Amino acid sequence: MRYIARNLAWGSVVIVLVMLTVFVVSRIVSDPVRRMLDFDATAEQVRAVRERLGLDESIIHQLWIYVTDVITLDFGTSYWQNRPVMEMIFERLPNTLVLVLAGMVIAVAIGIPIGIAASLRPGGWLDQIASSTALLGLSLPQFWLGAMLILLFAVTLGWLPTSGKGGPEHLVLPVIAIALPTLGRMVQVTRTAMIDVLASPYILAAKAKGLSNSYVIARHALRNAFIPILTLSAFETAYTIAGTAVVVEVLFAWPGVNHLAMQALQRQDLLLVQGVVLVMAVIVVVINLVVDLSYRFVDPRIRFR
Amino acid sequence: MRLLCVGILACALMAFATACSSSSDDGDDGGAAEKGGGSPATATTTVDGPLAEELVVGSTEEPVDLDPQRSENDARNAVLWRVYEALYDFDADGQLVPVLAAELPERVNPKTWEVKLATGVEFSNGVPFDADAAIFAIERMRDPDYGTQFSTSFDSIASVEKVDDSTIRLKLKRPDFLLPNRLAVLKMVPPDTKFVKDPVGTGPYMLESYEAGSEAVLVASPSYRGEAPALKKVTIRFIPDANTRLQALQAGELDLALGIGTNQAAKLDHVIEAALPTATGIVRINAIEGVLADARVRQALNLAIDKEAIAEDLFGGYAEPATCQPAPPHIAGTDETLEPYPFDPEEAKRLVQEAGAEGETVTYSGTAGVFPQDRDLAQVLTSYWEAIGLKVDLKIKSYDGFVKDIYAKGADAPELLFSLTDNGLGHVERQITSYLSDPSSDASVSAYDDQEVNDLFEAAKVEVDDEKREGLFNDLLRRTCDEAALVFIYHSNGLLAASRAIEYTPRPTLISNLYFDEMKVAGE
Repeated sequence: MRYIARNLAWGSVVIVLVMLTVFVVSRIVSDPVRRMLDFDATAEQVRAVRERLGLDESIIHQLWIYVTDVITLDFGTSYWQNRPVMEMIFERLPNTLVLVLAGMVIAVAIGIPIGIAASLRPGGWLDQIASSTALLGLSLPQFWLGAMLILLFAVTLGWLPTSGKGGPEHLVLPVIAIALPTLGRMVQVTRTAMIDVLASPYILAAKAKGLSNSYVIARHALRNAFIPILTLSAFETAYTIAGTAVVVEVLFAWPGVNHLAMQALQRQDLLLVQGVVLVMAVIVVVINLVVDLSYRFVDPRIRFR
Repeated sequence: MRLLCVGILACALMAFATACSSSSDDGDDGGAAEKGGGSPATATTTVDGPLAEELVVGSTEEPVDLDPQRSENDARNAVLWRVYEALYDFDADGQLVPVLAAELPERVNPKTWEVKLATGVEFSNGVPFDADAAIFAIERMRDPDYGTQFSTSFDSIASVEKVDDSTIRLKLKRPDFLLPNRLAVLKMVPPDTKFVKDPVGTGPYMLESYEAGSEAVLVASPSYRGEAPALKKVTIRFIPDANTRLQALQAGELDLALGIGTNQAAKLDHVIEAALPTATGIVRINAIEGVLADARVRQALNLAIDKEAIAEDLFGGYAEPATCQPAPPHIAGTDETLEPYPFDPEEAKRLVQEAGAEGETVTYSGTAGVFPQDRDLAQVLTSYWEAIGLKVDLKIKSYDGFVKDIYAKGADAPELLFSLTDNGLGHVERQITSYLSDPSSDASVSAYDDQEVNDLFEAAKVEVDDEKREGLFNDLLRRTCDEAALVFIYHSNGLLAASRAIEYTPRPTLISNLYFDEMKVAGE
């Protein structure tokens, strides 16, 4: 219990630091007002809008206003769409979650078995192919990969739609694009972890006892190799939801929260940017905490101080 | 061994990729009848036979909101342009015609205009369109608390009065000959503000559904007073990535796409080109300080560039050399007799030497992806100007960099800045205000300060006699041409990309203002 509380406390500190940095830096670096108005806006109008948005005050003052607002759960109104920031974010968040979780499930469901198979005979032909493909999968730039997938399956063959959100057929290509790099990494990490574990003496002992290969792998090796695999999966999921999905979301015109973040940045919609950063920081912290706690169930030897 | 595997796989993928992309680059695809190739299609497609009742359009981004009075915004107009109407509009020849007004407005005296409204018109929710509604719409635009981004457009109006149920009078603070043009962007809205969330207009279409970040669906409005449009349902999808949008078009998922560049035209099956140029590419020059304050150097910049080549090769023929003014000659107020600066690099070199500017460095602020082929144009211009003895420091900036630069006006302006002007107001007054007028005035982003031009402009704005006013504008434009106040590069025809035959002539104002009710789309 204390572990959870301490973890949450540190997580909160991280979130606050992130928010502070984003707040201060974005106000120093950008001027959203000019961006919002037309070219023939007068200096008078620029001033009026700046005042209305409170951007003419000092950064400390603005920060104070923001903090007091957030405490009352008021995360601000978007300059761009004039709607509550959280409303816009939570509209899109489910879309990103669907995309990323589907991708992660596939990456894990395919990557782990391949990694295991590769680890059984390191250096063998299966390992060569699996490792090379994994390397390729995680080296290919996602924007190129996505564009090629669209070109082949949607434009040339016409089997799948090019972009947008709709029925399940709209999910196929974006999920493949999201999954591939993670799949590559899963194969590599699983393979390495398994090779490590399979070299341990107790594995040899188990085999000497006469246990079948598959039993040894499933019951002993995999469970022991699981921690790095779990860590990677959590890391990948958290960071894809919180940012790296942006390439796929923009390319496939997928209405997710990363796409929204990019649009917010382009428009210098500072409050929306902060709202998105906050939500993403919370997601990352929560996922990390959940994974931390789950280690205990994977490996009972781990105790929490 | 592992590397070999990776290498083989990588090569296979590369080969596959090149094979795929080269087949779509192939200019010899079938169905070349409507394609640009080297020169644009001069004839509009005609569509006979059964017409499609549905259309899917790919727009460049999601509209900020659904409030037609907030600003002039391509994304919003793509959805709402035919949901709402204004008192006036520009027709296919760029002439002002009445829409919700019964006739063109009458100038009772220099500071008073009378507008007679069309009768029997209703909003799609049954509310009648009458003088009260019109006054509400106009007052809302003028309300400083509302903060419309149409800025100085409605500054000249002092008050609006009701004469009777179908007549209103606008009293002005100062004479404004462009008031009718300005009223063409003032969309008439019903007299309560719920329409911002649920659009209610007088136009031929209404919004059936709107999915944030994804698409908007329009259907023909049953209460529209005009002829029912052929297209009963229009879906507008928001696809910000230009490549994805193009691919969706090529895959047939979109019938029509906005924001496809002229350099992609060869890949398209159907191109709809505006009959008259919709935009003008210019370079704003800081004529106040530095080596460019000398008119000879500015003239040299104009003489050094081969505008024909730029129009034909860079823009695939979808542009023409700029006629030494910041708006195409069909736009009101322009001088139809002005000719482009000739391509004469020898004379340009001579002028540069005469001005003692040989070897001087000028900074060119360009962008990448903000305007069509802006980066390519920047490099082309740089090479032309370096060929006449100048050194060009080329800076490519993002949209935000551009916004900062454009607002740095007067003596603070960057030396050379590319910009694209549009015909939204239907009169060159807008371009003159922005780029050629006194930099100290609020609405100006000019870096050119010429007393003679300023005097002509002030005189023209208050001149009551139409012919005299035309004369003043012509004099002004002739002077700015002679003085090479800007680098005048090209007038471009906007284009729309289509994946099937569509009979449609875009208006010469803004190509993204889509008149769905005028489109005839070939049926399956």
